[in-house]
Amino acid sequence: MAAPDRPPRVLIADDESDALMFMSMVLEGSAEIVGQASDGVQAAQLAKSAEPDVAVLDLRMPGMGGLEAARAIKESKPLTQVLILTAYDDPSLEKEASKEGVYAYLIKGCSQELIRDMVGSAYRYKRSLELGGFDPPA
Amino acid sequence: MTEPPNPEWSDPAVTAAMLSAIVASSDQAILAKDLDARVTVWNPASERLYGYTAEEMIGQPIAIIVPPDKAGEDFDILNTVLRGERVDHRETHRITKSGKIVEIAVSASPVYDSTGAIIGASVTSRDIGESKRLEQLQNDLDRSEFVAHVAHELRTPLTIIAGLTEMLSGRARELPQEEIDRTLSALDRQGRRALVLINDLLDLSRLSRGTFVVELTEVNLSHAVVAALDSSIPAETATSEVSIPPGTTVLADQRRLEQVFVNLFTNSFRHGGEKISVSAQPNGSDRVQIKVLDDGPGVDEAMVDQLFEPFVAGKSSTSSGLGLAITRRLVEAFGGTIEYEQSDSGACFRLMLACTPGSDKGSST
Repeated sequence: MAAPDRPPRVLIADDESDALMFMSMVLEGSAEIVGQASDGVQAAQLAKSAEPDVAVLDLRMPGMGGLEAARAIKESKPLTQVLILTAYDDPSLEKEASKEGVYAYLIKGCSQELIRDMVGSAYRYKRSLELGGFDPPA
Repeated sequence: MTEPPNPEWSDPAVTAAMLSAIVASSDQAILAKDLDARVTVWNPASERLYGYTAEEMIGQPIAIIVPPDKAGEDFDILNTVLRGERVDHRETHRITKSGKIVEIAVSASPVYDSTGAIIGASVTSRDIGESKRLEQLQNDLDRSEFVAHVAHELRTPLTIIAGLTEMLSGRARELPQEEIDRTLSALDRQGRRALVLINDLLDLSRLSRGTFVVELTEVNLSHAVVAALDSSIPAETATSEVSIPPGTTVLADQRRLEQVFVNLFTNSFRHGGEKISVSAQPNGSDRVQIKVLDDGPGVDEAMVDQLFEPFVAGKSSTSSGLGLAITRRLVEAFGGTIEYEQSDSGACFRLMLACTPGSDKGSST
């Protein structure tokens, strides 16, 4: 498949401002940050207006958490791919995330390379859907 | 005494038959022994618990079901009863016919003859092994859940610290100074946050084990409240009202009392309170009641019962989630109490602390 002609537009959500800053630095150069949210409600709203290709969401946030936000984003922007980046390496939560159509469930502390790779991979998957269908990731 | 509904029930023979039926049908193991510690009554529940039938046990020494290392304990129980006293819920072990050790709770009472002389003891026993095992399992689960929670809470700041350090070491030369400064501030914040969590965990552990040292002195309540307000309220968005009779003192550890109020105030502001009212009034001659009231939405009813448990109040970048758990234990270490009550205007915490003799609590501002 041909490489996408622009970097992915990424929305990031975390209730820790330092975590948002860290994510921006990790993705700098490989993605365009189109929105930063500090809770799930804000993330779902921003997803409508900022049209991200990929949303990277924390799981536990005040008000609306990452899984609910993923559902809301999928409803308004079905092609937007969601990554969960959380401190909770809980298989049952990972399963729930998968049910919500989350592209990947990453554990905080994973390598920065993995985060960039997964954002890139989720973006390429979205592009393939836009271009006419592709099997979902296993 | 109330008369029985049917005069027949007054008949001693009927009463004896009734008591016998109760003993026979009881789920609790009931037995009686004479002054020589020989079994005189052995109900079906005793058969089920210990494996011996009544025929096997009546007339036999009770020592058959007492493990050798518990013989002295059983002797003590019998002696207590022979002095005319009751034994309530003494936890011990017995040995069944199959050799299995069972964990039981024993209660025993003296048995009197018609002249009022003690002729033996009646003993009820309950198998508490299963409930103990469940309790242990629950403790293990609680502990592992707690450890998992601590690990998660630490993972967030440590991840940011590790990630930003990696970033700085790899890209320090290309980053503008402003970015480096921002990163260093974040490292500082997250390092402190991890430290707060560790310190809170140590406090909680010491308080729970009773090894926390508090220095109880007469503390001026107004001073402690005002100092805590100064260090915890966001001046631009919050207001406070303090109404404490002048000269009110309480028995507490000065620094730790301030910590109690800081925890309560930051908790209020974190959960939507914008105005805090603190009031105090004497309660009897030796206690002071302190109310900390806010105008926030209050505590979700489902959470009230566990409010003072660790990690219940919810995480935040400025708290460890242990604040209220520590607060309650600190107040208890001062010899006081703290309760939560839902008020019409918001959340209300009510503290009761000992005041010190001679404190001037009579006047009011």
